[in-house]
Amino acid sequence: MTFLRALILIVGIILPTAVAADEFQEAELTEANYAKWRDHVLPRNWELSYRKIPWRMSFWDAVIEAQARDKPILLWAMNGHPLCNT
Amino acid sequence: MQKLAAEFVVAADACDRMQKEFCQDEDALLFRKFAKERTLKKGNRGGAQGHYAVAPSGELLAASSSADPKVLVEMMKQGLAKWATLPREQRLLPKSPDPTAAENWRVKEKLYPDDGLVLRVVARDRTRERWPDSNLDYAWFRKDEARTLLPTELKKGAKHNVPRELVQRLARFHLLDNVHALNYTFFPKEAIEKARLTSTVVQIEGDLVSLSFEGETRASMVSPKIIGYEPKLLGRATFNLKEQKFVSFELLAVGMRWGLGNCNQRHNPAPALMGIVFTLAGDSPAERLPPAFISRYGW
Repeated sequence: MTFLRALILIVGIILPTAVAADEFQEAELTEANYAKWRDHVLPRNWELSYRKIPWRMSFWDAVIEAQARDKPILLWAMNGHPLCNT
Repeated sequence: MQKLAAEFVVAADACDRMQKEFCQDEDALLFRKFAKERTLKKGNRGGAQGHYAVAPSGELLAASSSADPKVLVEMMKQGLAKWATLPREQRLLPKSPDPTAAENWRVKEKLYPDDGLVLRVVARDRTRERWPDSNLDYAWFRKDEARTLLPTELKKGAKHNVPRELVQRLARFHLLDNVHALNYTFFPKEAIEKARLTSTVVQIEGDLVSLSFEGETRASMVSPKIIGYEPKLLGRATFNLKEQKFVSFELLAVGMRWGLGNCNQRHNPAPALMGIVFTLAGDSPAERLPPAFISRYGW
C-alpha cells in the first residue's frame, strides 16, 4: 500500500496534510454514532484517485496489449492485487 | 506525470503467484525474467513488489521499489529512454502471447457471482497512526446466499437470524485487520466464538424491502498468532423483490482488534478500535477482483 502515495501523486492529487492527524474519537458503535463511524471508515475521493488510472487488471492483459501496440508496460506489482487487498 | 504514464500500457497485478520459482504459468515465467534483473539502490520492500517498466518481451527497462513519486517519475523516464533504443526484436515477443493461457491461473475470477451480491469491504482504525490507514477487499455472495440475509416471510417487523455459516465466513475472511496491508492471517473455524447477524424488515414498499442489521462477532486465536477482533455489527439494506437483488447495502463493524497479523504491517498489538464497512461494489473491472480469501469460501 505504501506505493499508493506515488501513484496518487501521479494522478495529480495532493495528499491532505490532515492525513496523519485525525481527531475522530467516537467510542463503540451505536445507532447514534453509526453515520459518523461509517463516514470515518469509508474512503475519501482522493484516496480512491489511483483507481482512475486505466489499469489493466493483469500483467498478462498488458503484455497482450503492449505487444499488439508496440508499447512498453508500466507494471505495479504487489503481494495481493494492488487494486484489491494489498 | 500523466503524460508520461500515457506512454505505457499500465497494469496492476498481484505478484505472489508469479514470483514463486515453481510457478510455470506463462505470465510468471515472463515476470520472473525481469524481476530477477532488478537491482535496487534502496532496500527491497519485500519479494518482487514494486514498479516496473518492461518491454512486452520481458526486457527490463527500469524498476523502482520506492514510494517516492520523484523516483517513480525518474524510473518511467529511464524506461522510456531505454525503450527508444531497443530494436523491435528486443522489444517484442517472437510470437503473440496467447490470451487463453490466462485461463490456467485466472480461475477465481470465474466465480464472480453475477446474479448474487458483491460488496466492497473497507477497513480503517479509529485512530489514524500512519498512512496508508485503510485497505480494501471484496466479499462475494451467491444468489442463494444473498437471499438468506432476508427473512423467509417478508412482513414488517419480521426478524431473521442470518445462517451462522455465512456470518462465520464474514468473521473468518472479511472481519480482518488489513488496515495497513494485506493480512495473510485469517481465522480458522475454531477461532470464531461469536457469529450472529439478525436482519429485521423495517418497511415494505412495492417491490422494495428495507432491512436493518444488528449483530456481533468475536474471533480470537493464540497460535500461531495472538490476534482477534470483536466487533458489533449494524447496517441497513434494500432488497428489490422483482429483480431479486440488493439495491442498497451497508454493514458496519466496529470493535476492538488486538494482536499482530502476518505481513499486515501492524506493529502495535495493543487492543484498539477498528471499523470495517461493507457497501455495494460497482461493476468496473477493478470492482470485480476476487476477495483475498475466495479460495477458502468452499465454492
